[in-house]
Amino acid sequence: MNPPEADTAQFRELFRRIESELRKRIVGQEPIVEGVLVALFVGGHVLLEGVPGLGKTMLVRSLAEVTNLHFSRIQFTPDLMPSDIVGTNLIAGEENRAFRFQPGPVFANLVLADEINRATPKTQSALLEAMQEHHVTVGGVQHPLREPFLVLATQNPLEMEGTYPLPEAQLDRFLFKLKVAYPSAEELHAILDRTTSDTDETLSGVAGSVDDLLRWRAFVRSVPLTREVQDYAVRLVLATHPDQPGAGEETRRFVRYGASPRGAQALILAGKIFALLDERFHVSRADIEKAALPALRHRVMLNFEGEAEGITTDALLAGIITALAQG
Amino acid sequence: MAQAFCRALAWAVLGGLAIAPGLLWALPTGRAVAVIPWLGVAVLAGAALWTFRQRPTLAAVAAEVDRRAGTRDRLGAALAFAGSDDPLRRAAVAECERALAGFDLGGSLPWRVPRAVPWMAIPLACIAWLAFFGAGGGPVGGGAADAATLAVADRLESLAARVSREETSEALAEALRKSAHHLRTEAVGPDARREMLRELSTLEELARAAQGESPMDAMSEAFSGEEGELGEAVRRNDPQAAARALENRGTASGAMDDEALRQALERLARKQSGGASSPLGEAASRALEAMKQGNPSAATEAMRQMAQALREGAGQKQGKNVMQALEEMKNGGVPAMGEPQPGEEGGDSRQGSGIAMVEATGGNPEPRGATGASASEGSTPGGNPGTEHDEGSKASPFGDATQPAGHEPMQTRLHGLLGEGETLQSLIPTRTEDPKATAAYQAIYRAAAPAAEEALESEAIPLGSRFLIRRYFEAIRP
Repeated sequence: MNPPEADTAQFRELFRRIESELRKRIVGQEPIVEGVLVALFVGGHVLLEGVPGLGKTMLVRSLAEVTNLHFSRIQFTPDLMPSDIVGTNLIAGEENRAFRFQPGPVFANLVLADEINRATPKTQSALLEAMQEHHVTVGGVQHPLREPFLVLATQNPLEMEGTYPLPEAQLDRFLFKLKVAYPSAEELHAILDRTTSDTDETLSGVAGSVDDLLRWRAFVRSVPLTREVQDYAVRLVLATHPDQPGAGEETRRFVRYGASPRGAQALILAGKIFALLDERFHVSRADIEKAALPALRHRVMLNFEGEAEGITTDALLAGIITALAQG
Repeated sequence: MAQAFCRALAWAVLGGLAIAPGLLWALPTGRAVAVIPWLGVAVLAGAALWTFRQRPTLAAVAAEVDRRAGTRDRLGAALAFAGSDDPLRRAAVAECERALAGFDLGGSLPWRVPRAVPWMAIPLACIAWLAFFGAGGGPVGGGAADAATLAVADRLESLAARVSREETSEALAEALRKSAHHLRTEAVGPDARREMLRELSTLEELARAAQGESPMDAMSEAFSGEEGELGEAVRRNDPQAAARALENRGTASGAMDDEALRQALERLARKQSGGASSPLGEAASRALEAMKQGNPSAATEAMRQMAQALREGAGQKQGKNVMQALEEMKNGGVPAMGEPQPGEEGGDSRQGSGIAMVEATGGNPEPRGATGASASEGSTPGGNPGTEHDEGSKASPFGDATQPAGHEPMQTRLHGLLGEGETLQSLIPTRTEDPKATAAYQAIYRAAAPAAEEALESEAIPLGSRFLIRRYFEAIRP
C-alpha cells in the first residue's frame, strides 16, 4: 500500500495528464474540462449547456479516447423512444425464437446524451433510472450497466421552442451543470488552426485501466474533511432554501426551491478532488466554494418573480457565498 | 478570546454610558454618584460573563483564524486530525505543519477597535453636558451656589443682623446666620432650590416660635369670661380698646381685690410661662405678683405695660416681619399682592396670612417663573405637568402667598328691613379652651411639606406617579 503522499501525487499526475491530453483537441474551456474530469473521478453525471459548435461532443469523444472507456452517443429527438436508449428484447433465433435482450446505447461507460431536452419526458425518464441506479430494467429483468458509468448530457439554450425542459428530479441527478462559454478570439483562432488544417491530433489513452479508475474513485472518497468544512457546505445548501433561517433577502424573494442533499454531496465530493489537486490532504472551504456554482446552479429553482427580474442562479449563489464569507 | 472580551466590554460600557445620563438626570446628584461605581462593576461583570458564555470552541477559533489568514482550513484540519491513525489524516496534519511552519498567524489577526467605541462619544457628551450645565440649567460648579441661593443667603444674613440688633431672639438670629452659611456652601446643583426651601421652612417655624402667640390670642384665652369693657374688647379682638380697658382696670378702685382680674392674670401668666415668654406675659406676671403683694402702684404700672404690649404687639412685630421676609424669599423675592413689606406694620396678626387660596391644579400649571422670579435667580419649579417632571402647579410647595385680611375691604351694601327680625343662632365649633388638637393644621402642613417634598424625590416612587402625590398634597394644602 502506497503512502498517501505517493497516491496523492500519482492522482494529481494522472489528472493533469488526462487534462493535458484533452487540450490537444479542446481549445480553452479549462473549467469545462476540469469539471468533466471531476465528475469522472467522483462518479457523477454532467450537464453541458452551450450553443452548438463549442466542442461538447468533441470533448466527450476525446475523453473516451484518453480514458480507454467505451463511448456511445445518443442524439435525442422528439420521436426518440425509451427503448432506443435502454434497449429492447428481440426475438432471435430461427429455431428457438426466444427473446434476446439487445442492449441500447446506454450500455457504455461514457454516454453522450446530445440535446437531451429535445426528447419527451418519457424518454428522458428512461435515462433517469440508468443515471441513478446504474442499471436498466427491460421486460422485468435488470441489466446492470458498465462501470464507470458517466452520462454527459448537452442542451442548447437557444432553441427552447419544441423542447421539453428537464424536470427538477432529473436535473438533480447531474453532479455538475457546466456552462460552455463561447471561445475568445484567440481561442477561435486556435480552433480554426487545428480543425481546418490537415493535422489531426491523436490522443493517447493515459488513464490506465477501468480498475485503476475505480480505485482512484475510492481514493478520492477517502480524503478527510473537518466538521467545520462540512458545516460550511451544509450552511451553503441551506442558504438556498427560502424557508430556512439562514436564507438571505434575495433567496426569500426569488427562490422557489433550494438545493437538495445531493447538492451537498456534490460539494463535498468535488471539494475532495480540488483539495487533492491543490496538494492538500483535507478539504477546505475554498474547495467547497469552487464547486458551488457548477454543483448548485441547476438545483436552485427560481420563482416567477426571480425569472421576471432576470435573476440568475449564478448571481444568487455568488451572493450567498459572499454573505457566508462575511459572516 | 481577549479581543472577544474587549468587544463585549466595549458594548457593555456603551450600554452603561447610555444609562448613566439617565441616572444623572433622574436621581439626585449624590445618589447618582453613588450608583455609578456599582454600574461600572455591573458592566465589567456583565462583559466577563457574556464573554465566558459566548466563548467559541477551539475548532471555531481555528476556523476563524483560517478564514482571516487564508490558510485554507489547515489549522482546523490539523486540530481535527491530530492524533489520528488514518494515513491520510496523518498526512494531512503533516502537510498542515509544513505549510504553517513559516506562517505569521499573529499578523493575520490584527487588533481591531470594537465598533462600540466610537458610539461611546454620544453618551460621554451627554454626561459632560449634564455635569457642566446640570439638570436644572446653568453651570454647576464644584461647590458654588447659584445666584438665587446666594441672594437668599445674603438676605438671611441681613435679617439675622436686624434680629440681633433689635434683640428679639438671639436663637433666631443664630439660626438665620447658620442657614445662610449652609445655603452658601451646601446648596449646589439641581437640589439647590429644594435645599433653600427646606431651610426657609425651618426658619419660618423658628420665627413663628420666636414670635410666640399673638397677645390678643393670649388675652382672649385668659379673659374669655371677663365681663365689661375689657372682655368686650377682647371678644372684638380690638387690641387698642383692650389696652385702654386694661389701663382703666388697673387704675380702678378695688382692682387689687378683683378676684376675676387676678384669676385672669394667673391664667395669662401660666400660659406665658409654659411657652415662649413675651412682654405681655412678663407684665402679667408682675401685675399678679404686685396684686399678691398688695402693691397697687406696681400692679397699675404692670397693667400699663400690659396695655403697652397689646398696643405695640411687641415681639409679634419682629417675628412677623421675619416670617414675611421668609415668605417672600420662598416665593422668589416678590411679595404677594397686598402683603406688607418687611418692617411695615401689619394688620391683625391673629389673622396671620389670611385665607389660603388654593388654585385648581388640573392640567394648566403656571409656567416657570410665573411667580415673578427672574431667570437669573436660578431655576423655578414647574416642569411638565402630568409627567415625572411635574413639580407642582405652584412655585412653592406651600402654594402662593395669599392676601392677608385688612388690605382693601370689599364694600357690600346689604338691603334689609328696619325692626326686629327673625333671629338665627348657630353654634360654630371653634377652638375651645382645651382643644384636642395641639397645633394648627397650617403649622403642621408647613412643617411636613418640606419633608414630603424630600421624600418624594428620594423614595422609590415611579417617576410617572410623582405628580399624583404632588396633586394630593396640593389638595390638602390649607
